[in-house]
Amino acid sequence: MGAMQGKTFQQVYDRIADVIWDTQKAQWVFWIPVQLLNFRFVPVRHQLNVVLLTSVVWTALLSAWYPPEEENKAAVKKESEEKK
Amino acid sequence: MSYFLKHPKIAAAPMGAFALTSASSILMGRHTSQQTSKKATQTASRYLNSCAQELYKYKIHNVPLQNQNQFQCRFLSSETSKQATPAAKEASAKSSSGFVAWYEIHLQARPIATKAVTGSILWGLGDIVAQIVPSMMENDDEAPTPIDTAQSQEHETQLVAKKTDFEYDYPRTARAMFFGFAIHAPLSHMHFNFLEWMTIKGSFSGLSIPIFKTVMEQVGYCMVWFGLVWFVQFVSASRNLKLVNLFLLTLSPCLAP
Repeated sequence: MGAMQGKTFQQVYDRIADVIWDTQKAQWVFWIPVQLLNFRFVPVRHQLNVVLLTSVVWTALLSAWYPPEEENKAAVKKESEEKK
Repeated sequence: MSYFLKHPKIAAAPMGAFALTSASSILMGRHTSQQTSKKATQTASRYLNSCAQELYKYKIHNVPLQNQNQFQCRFLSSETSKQATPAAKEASAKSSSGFVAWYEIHLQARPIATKAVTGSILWGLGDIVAQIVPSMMENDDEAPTPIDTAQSQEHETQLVAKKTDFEYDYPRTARAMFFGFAIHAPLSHMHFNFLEWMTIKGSFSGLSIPIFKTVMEQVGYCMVWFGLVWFVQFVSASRNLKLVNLFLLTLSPCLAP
């Protein structure tokens, strides 16, 4: 991903090392209650649907916390212009 | 508690989660006991056949639908009827149960395919949300505070620039949908059935079932995964160690429910 956004490997590594622990904690706080309720009340065949629906909210949260950086955006824009 | 106050990010998460899960579990738990027997499947497929016939008549000869569950039949076709009969209107009030029944039929007949399609749609939706949310937030941050007309004008041009700056990445959504369809949904299907199998094997009962499953999913897989990462580290003393680690870390099941 990062390579495609024109970053060096070290930058990517630092970025991930920077955010991964906070994200992991948030992930536990968010998903553990969800899954407890899910496994308690939802039949097995519908458990994936609960996860998928909740994932939409979770992705929204993630993208709000970690918006794409300006340079990445520029890179994406450049890329799409090149395609045109 | 003070920890949560320091980290509003982490505190905000469970509220939405609780609301959503309880809502969806109420919606889906309602139909737990209905379609478990084989008989139900047979009735369902028979019903689907009759639906298909009705639809055929309706499409080819423009014969109005005679089936008593005509709304459900119509649901199978992608067409939306322009002249809704009073009966159909009445039925549309109960449309949610019609949809759930229809979904259940497919889930019963082809569990993995149905889950794959659902997964693809919801992964697509998730990616759309993920792409739109940051740009929305940006615009919120830039909410105009008119102090000076010249300044606000400048502000507006900036806003316009920001908006045009936003480029929607369609291939990304396509990738997300493909991932949801081909990888995530089938794997998850196996995952949930595996958890169920383990609880049955271990003869868990009552509240220990959800607790075991959650711990297993959130921590157990993680441990196994990092055991593997450690093993890879141990075995390969290559220069690309960091790259391998990063790759494994990104794929870590700890971060993917």
